[in-house]
Amino acid sequence: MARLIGRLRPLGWVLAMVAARPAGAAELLDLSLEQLSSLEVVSVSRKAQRLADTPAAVTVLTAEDIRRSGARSIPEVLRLVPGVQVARIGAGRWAVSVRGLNSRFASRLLVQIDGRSVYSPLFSGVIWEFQNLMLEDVARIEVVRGPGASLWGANAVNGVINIVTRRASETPEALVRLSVDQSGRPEAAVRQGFRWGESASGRVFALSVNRAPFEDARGHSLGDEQTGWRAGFRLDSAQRNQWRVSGEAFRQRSPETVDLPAPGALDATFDYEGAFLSGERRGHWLGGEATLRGYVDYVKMIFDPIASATVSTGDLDFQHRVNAGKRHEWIWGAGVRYQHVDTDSRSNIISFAPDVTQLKTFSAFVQDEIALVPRRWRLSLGARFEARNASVPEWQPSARLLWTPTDRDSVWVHGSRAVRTPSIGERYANLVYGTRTLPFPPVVVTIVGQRNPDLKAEHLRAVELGYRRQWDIGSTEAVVFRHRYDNLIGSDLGPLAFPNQYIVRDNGSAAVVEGLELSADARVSDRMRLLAALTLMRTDYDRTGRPVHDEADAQRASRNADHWFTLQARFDLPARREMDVTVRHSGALKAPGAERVGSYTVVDLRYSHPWNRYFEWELTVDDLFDDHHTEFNSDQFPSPYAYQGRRCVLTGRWRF
Amino acid sequence: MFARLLASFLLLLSCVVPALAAPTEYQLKAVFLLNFARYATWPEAALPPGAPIDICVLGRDPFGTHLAGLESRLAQGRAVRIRYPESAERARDCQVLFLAASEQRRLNATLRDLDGAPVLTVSDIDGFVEAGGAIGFVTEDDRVRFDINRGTLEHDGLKLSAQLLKLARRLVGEDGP
Repeated sequence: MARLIGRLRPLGWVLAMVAARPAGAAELLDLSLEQLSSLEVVSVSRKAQRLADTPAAVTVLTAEDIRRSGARSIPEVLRLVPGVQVARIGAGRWAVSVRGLNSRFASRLLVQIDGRSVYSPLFSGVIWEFQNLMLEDVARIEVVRGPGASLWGANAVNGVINIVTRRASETPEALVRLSVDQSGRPEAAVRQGFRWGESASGRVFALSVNRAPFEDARGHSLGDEQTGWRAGFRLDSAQRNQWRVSGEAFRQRSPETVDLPAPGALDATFDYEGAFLSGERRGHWLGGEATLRGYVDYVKMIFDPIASATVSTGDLDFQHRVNAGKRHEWIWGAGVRYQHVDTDSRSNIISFAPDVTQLKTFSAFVQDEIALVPRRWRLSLGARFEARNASVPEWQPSARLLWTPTDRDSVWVHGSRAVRTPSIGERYANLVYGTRTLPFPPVVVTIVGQRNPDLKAEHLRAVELGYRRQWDIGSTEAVVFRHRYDNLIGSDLGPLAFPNQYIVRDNGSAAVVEGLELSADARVSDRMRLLAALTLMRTDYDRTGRPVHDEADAQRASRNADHWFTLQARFDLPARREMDVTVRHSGALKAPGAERVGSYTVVDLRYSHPWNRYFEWELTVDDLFDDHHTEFNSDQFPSPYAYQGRRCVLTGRWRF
Repeated sequence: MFARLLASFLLLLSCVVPALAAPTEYQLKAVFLLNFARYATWPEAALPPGAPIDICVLGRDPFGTHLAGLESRLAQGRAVRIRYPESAERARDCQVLFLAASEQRRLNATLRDLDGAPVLTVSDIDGFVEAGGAIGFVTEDDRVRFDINRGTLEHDGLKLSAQLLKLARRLVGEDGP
């Protein structure tokens, strides 16, 4: 760790030098309006401005951040956020977590797209495989690190990712995107914006997904190529934020090889299909702003030949923001969600009992933001109650204090308690992990993870201290956090009921995750912008004294790197060409066993060249120096380590 | 491998960090605020002869020291004064009001509180003119441009010079195209 900090010292030095730049001249005051309008400025991203009053570790990725990351999927964009660990498992599979406890379906994270939750109650994780959005139409991605539970609710335990798509009025033109990767796989996307009478505007889009498979350590294809499509629409009121209606449908095929120690690997195909319809209405109500939002969502997963599941969701959510006096700003809301989950086992690898689960969730929250001293001290207190089915309501309080000694500095402290309810998989599924030969007597037993319907919720107590500084040419942020988890779901040796050896899930684990997140964004010259995000993190599970339990905890801890960073330089070349270089590094994952994920450093490149008003082409090269590396091994449905080296994608975009 | 990479990256950076000639975004926006004060007309009741023109900032000031420099200048023969009102009600006697990005969440409520007051509202919050603000800054290709809502101006009894209207990127509102 000390070595790492030593290595990074020059970076801090460059940033400090850049920040100390003198301001320009006063002659500006005498320029004419026309001259002012033609001046080029060094623009500071306003996201930092917007965040200056937020007493939380929030990062906003703008449309420019998304474009210039060269990403084709959401997880790739998230690499720019400190505290977020993004590890690729295969062609479409990802492990994404905020502040640790990473896993394929990192289960303590809430991910929403336009207010629609996309985590699956099956794993309470996000199935990133089929979240293939039209990235050109994403307005911004807000990443809240740390608990956001008091406002956003269950699963917002160690982070919230809010993906917000553009209003239809902001995408009035037609867009056609065609791209091809180095192995010749084409992809296409089209979008058309339109006006719908005087009162609304809209857009429709369709895209195809066609991603090349990854390789195993010896260079053989893993056959996990991603194919699918997604199509949808969005309608918005002409007057800003009055109402919105959107809907999408998709289908995605995602094969993978599932490792079974014996009788061997199994080639499985994940087929996903689904659709949703979502609406939102906003208006003035009782002297404040009211928002009513609802959606219905349907996802069918066929995990051939192992199992299948359908999840149907209906959700209604109301929020009201009102100023009471000069000092108080109240936000309160309530929501109901109904989920119907139907699972079907197609093999003896996984079985569910019961097969059908209905989840009825009611939640309510209130938050008061108090200006203790106007413009200087601000306190926000909030709490959320949530009840699911017949369980005891959980309450999740939070307190945040923000001090803004100057207009450019913000210091905040935050403490809160958050809760995660166990997933359906954890409660009701029996899952075969593999077989093992006992040492004495030498017989073969099948290791089965056993269902436990009595699992209780996991608890988190989090504290955080943050500092944010706005410069003339950028911003910097430093946050330290400590997350204490209790009642974490762990596993221990259960009964031996020959030929099965059971592994039982219990609430017996506890852990502390603490870390430091640093980020900087500097417009170092009128041709170049520099962004950096660095995370140092430590994960410690409490020892329970039970060897199998501690071994399972150690495996979980080992899926987290202790440091990682991303450094991105964006160059604005003449003739509106853009060149972006990203260096990303991650420390090793100390996974037990023979194979492991070593530390890696990768350079990505993006170059875009506008041909004329209508057409631009773009070349992205991932892993420029062809460092054939692997980033993560799936902990759910274990598969061989997936490797990938240099990958090039050539894209053409027409807008008209 | 990693240390060498980073070192070469930093070397690359040090080559492209020359002195900065271009003004910063908020330095320029401050000057625009002065020019809006110069090219707008308020109803006589709102601005008696000899009274200074108040340029106000609501919320967290993004301008740093750049706004204070405006007080040395005149607009339409009047002194220019910079004020920081604590709430929208107290901003009703400002002539030009900049709504900082920190006010984004309260935008609709703030604009309602200012409804009918002869205040030229300016902001760089996304969708400001669509929400009923008068002038919205837009940064495009590193140039500061602005949109104007003519419906709001008319409603609040304000006029802008033709020169300003001509330079607007987009005119919205009743008289707009």
